[in-house]
Amino acid sequence: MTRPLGRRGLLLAAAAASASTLLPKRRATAQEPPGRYLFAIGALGGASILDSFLPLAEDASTEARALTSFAPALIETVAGVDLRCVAPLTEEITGPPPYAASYRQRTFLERHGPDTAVMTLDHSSVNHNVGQRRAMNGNGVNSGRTLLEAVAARHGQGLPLAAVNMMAGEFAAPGWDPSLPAHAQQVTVADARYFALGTHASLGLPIAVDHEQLLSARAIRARLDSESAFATSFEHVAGRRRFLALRERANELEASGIATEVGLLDLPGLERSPELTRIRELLPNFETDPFEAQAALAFLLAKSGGSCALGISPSDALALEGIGAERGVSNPALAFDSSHNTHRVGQHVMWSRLLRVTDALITLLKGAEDLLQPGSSLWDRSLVYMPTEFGRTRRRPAGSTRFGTGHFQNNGVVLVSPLIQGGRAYGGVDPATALTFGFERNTGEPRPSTHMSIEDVYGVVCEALEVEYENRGSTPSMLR
Amino acid sequence: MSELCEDADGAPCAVTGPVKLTDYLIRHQGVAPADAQAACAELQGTTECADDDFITEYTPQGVHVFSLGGNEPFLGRFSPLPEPSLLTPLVLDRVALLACGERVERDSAGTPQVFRSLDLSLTQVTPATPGMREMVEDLYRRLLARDATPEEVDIVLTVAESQPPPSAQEAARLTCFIIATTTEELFQ
Repeated sequence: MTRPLGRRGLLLAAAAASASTLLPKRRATAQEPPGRYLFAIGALGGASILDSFLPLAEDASTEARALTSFAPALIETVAGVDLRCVAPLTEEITGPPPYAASYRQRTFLERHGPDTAVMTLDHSSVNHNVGQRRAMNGNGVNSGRTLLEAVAARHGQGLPLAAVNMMAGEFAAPGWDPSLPAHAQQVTVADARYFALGTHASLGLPIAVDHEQLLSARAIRARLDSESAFATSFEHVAGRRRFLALRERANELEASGIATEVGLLDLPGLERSPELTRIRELLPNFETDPFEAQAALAFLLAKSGGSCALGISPSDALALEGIGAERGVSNPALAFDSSHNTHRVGQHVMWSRLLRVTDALITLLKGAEDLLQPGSSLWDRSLVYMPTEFGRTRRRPAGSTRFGTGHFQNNGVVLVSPLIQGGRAYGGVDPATALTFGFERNTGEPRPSTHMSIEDVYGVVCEALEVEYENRGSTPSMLR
Repeated sequence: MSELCEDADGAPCAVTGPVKLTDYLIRHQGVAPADAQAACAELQGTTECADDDFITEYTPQGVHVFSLGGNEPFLGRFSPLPEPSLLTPLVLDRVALLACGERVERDSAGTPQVFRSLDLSLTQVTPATPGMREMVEDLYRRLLARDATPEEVDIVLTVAESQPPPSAQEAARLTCFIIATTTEELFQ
């Protein structure tokens, strides 16, 4: 079988020959700045910002020991970064049950601190499904478009799969803007490892199919679909017409050869991506860990020129990691929502998991040269947004390390990007209540009497990624 | 589901989502049942395993479930997508190719159940090969529950006009694929 040139091959050929005719459609026709990339990494279940980059010290106020706070010795800092983080909670993760939380929050700040920002906000719901949707669509502020759809509409013209959503729950829900361009409609993924199979009708099948014969068969089918009594009777049925249009686009997707560039497994006629050697160094469990597989696929889709808006997240199913005595829970059942029973360790383990995989993805992006922007990496134009549904209640028995929390609107989210002014928090936390507060948009100065909203978060992400919409507003203090 | 599992090329397919932890430990990790119960209890922080725990056994989770209009509660997606996705046409083609190919292969190896009119051992066929026309007519009745018109049969038979000529198995599979993925079949 002849291996299709594929999109990456096209890019390489174009870069080598400087021949604009070989460039992908988007690059050849667009007279605009290079595209940008969004990676939404969902913190499923309600991630508390006070348990990661905005922790409160127990001695910060007389009330703090009865709120979500940590012993001063458990709060770490990194030189040059005005963010704090939580040290490894060795006692809590010992169990039972034993937990696996091998990744240190400080490591993330050491590697990506200057690009990392916390934006405080008050979420608008304490319902999981509603919170997940609003975290992605900004409470409908942009005609109902999700962030993935908005970025794909802006930067995804000409890409075969502009928006790919692998997230769990309602993070994966599409928006409701009827004017969304077809190319910006997201593709939803159940299993990242096998995603490549869905982009081609015959590669990887156990019984090989001659592709030329398949194309001939499709042409015959097209005749039937235009000449049969059924076809003429239902010629104007909207659903059928949409499907036939979708079929044309799907055939283009297949012809793009992307299936050969995003394979995570060896299958008949469909080899693994050659990038997997490097990916395995950073995501060693991608063959067995769904979340790592999603990160690997997100990287491959961006690097191959296939996508510009990608969503990944852990699920709420229990997952184990390690072998023998090292074996422990790396993803508690209910993910961050395990905080109902075990707030501190649940948050800690999930933040470890989230940050470890995010670190790997960012490292891959930093090491991937943008073939059309020599000297720059894919990361230079990327933004990671960690959406979550809501925060957690703050009360606990004074000094307790084993307590449960409920859903709560007050919180903050993490943004990581060279496109934003990172290395700091926007807003702050009141030591008397452990509640976060907002900031002044132009200066970034803390404003204890204000609160930002999920609409504001949506706006900042869009502004950083040059996505315009009516009444978006501006937060210049957060942008580079 | 068997097609989807085979589509994953031999990966374990008995389970497509979360499984009981104790089952997982016993079957895949060789843990003794008593030890599996103890491990479950340890995870629950108790002395006795109650109602077991669920763990995501990482087998293909209905690889194409969303593209085919399904949902996956264990991924928190309780409703199908409102519209087919860009992958849907390709996945439909894929599943049809797989199912048709599987039937042709089985009929070639044993007593034919579906492709009974055509000699599947022929290395080359044309539209005029005995049994070709009957095969098309039979597949129309099986898949679309109606008789094909003579014009439709003639159109489908052009599948055997390619150069080099297809084998009987190739022609049978492609004929099945064509009819099984017409919009008439998909939208009925």
